Amino acid sequence: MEINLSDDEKLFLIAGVEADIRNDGRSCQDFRTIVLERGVLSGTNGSCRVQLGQTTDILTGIKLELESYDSATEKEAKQPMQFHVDFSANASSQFAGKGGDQYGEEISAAFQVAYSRSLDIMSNLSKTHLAEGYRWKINVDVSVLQWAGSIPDAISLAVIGALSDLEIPEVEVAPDDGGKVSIVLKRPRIGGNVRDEEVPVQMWRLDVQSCPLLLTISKIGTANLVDCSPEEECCIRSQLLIGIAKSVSTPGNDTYQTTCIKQLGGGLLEMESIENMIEMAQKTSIGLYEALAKRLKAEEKRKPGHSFLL
Amino acid sequence: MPTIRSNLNIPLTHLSRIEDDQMEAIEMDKRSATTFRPLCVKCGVFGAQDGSGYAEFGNTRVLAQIIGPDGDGKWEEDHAKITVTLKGLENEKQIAEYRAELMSSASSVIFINKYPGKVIEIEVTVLSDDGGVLSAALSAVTLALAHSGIEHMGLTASVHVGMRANEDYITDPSTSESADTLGGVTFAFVPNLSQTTCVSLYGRIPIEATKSLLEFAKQRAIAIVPVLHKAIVNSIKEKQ
Amino acid sequence: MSIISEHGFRLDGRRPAQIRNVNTRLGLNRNAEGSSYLEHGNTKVLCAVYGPYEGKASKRLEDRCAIVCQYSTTTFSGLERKNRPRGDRKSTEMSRLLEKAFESVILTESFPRSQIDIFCEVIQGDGSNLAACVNATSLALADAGIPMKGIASAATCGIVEGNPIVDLTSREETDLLPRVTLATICGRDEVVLVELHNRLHIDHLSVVMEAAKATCADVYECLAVVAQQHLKACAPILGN
Repeated sequence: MEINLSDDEKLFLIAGVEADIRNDGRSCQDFRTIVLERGVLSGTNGSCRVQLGQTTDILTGIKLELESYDSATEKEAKQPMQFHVDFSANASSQFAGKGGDQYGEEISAAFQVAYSRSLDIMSNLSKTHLAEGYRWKINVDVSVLQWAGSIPDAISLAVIGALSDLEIPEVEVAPDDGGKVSIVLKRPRIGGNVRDEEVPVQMWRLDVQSCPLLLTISKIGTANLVDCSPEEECCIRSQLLIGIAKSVSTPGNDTYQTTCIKQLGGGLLEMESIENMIEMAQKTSIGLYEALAKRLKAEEKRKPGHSFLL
Repeated sequence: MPTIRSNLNIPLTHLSRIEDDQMEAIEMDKRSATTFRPLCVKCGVFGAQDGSGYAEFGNTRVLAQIIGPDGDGKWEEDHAKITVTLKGLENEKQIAEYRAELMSSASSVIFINKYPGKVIEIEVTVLSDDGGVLSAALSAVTLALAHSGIEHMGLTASVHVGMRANEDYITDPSTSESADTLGGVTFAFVPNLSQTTCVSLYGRIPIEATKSLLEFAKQRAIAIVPVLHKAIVNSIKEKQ
Repeated sequence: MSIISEHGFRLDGRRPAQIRNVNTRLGLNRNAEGSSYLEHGNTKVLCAVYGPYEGKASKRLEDRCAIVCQYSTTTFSGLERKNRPRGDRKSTEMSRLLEKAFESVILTESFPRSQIDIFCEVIQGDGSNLAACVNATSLALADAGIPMKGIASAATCGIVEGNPIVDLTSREETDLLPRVTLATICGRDEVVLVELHNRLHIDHLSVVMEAAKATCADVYECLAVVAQQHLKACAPILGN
């Protein structure tokens, strides 16, 4: 979306931000209203939709794939999540054809880096490794439907929502001839006249308490901001994309780790500014994790037949 | 002090992918936390062309070439357009990631307002990858910029530092040495202004340790400045 | 499993001449001139319209407006995950069909030398994707206030053992069943889009076309009601 601000409007915005007052009345650390809904697409294994500030709209769908890999060549366990971010042309006509491909690739690469140690961070992710040479591949696909600033933040919330909505089937691994294994869906034994195919398969869910959150901290003038709107994005000097993961070692005492820092959008930064921005990211992530945990617990199961955009 | 061989005139036929076992094994029993791998930097590899730079850290070799500023029939804005292409890495996601960082770093130091309507193309080719590709690429790009004569804010010194547990740092680790690290950072900064152009952190680093890791990286970057400076001065002497 | 069971019901419980529930919402996208969201049962389509605006010089036409359509599906929309959301042959063909159809519907002579962009995104595909896109686009154009000859409505119909079935789901869109997608303006006899998949016996052609036209008229009734309701909701803003 093309935003053209005159020099005076930019000065007004910068001066206001340095006094901790933004154009829409928020303070530098406030997010816009976030709407998160899970289970919106019945054709996927897990899905989530996040709306940030009534305009930025992200839809995430997860599809599972049973992948067989050569256990001789891959010594170390590889993390099973693949990210793919696609900017739909609905968001802006500049994304038609291949316009949004580069930006999408850069954001997917940033998420790939942030989740690269997820086997250590997320406690039951290693259960996706089924047997020698077989594992579940989790394809996380993100579609950006509307664009108005703060895309990585919204995407990280949507990814966590979709991962918490994901249901992975339990399987039974039985040895087969030729040294291979056969993998069968596990259905609980129910006596009586019920046919095997009609018993629903047992599912398990991932533990998403410590998933990394990717936050964009921007620098306008001398102030640091979270969640910039498009007008504010025209005035930024530089941006840091910071990935923060919570490690829940002892209850009540959460330590935080950075999983990824990237400097985007040009611009130069002082060392002090970087430290301040990391501190701000940590403070914000505490609030976001709390709000996210509350919402995930409180959300009711979606009624079938109810659509999400209506 | 890192070993410097910056007087090499590398003929084009020698710039090829060298397998690890063909390279003479450089025995380093226990590298101290602050030594770099043997490095070689050259400003101006192809003689009279627009701008080129070469950086080699151990077995990681990167070549950068700058074409421009040239007029392009289509670009008509009042500042220059910078495009970055990266070749030679197998992983597509890594290519996209490094390209974004290189673009951000280059566009922050070049004075684009001085070249209205022109296009500056930066082509980076990774000849061999053994860890620390991004910092080698940033070094090669800064040397190419110096050789090309495009106006920019100053030399960018970049370094790749890894961290094991307990604040045990290792400078410029190769791929095998980074296998047991918790994470690392590629840090690029402009000594003239004492400001950073690229901070790229990966892995799992506790927040309290992040600050000291960045400080350490900055010190290491300052150590590499004289090497880059000497390479640029040598290339000017060669031109005359 | 047969498409029509012995009692005359289809796989999802509908009669052969019954269409799925149509749910719509207009004006969702704040950046676009006009936008719509349409559901035919489980098929969900989002459409956004940008324009008329100046557009690219290469596509400019002197006497009328250029229409550019893009049909894209999300990677998670089908049963199997697709790697590329757009740019493959099928999507390009659908985009061309939509362009040609809407060039006949929109009064393009009113906007010479401009361009209208139409972007369709299939979020969940469960059969009749092209028909759903045509319907969504008509509503989005109505929301954008672009003058048209009428609201175009579309439906996909097939034939099984001589009995026509309308509004196919993805389970009914098999490789053996012939299916026709037809789009008409205002449910009348003016056809703007016809597409046939698989082989259709010539004797069945008239049967299928009659059924398709009748379905298009039914779908038009739904769309017309939606457009009128949206207009009534917006009228207070216009001060009436």
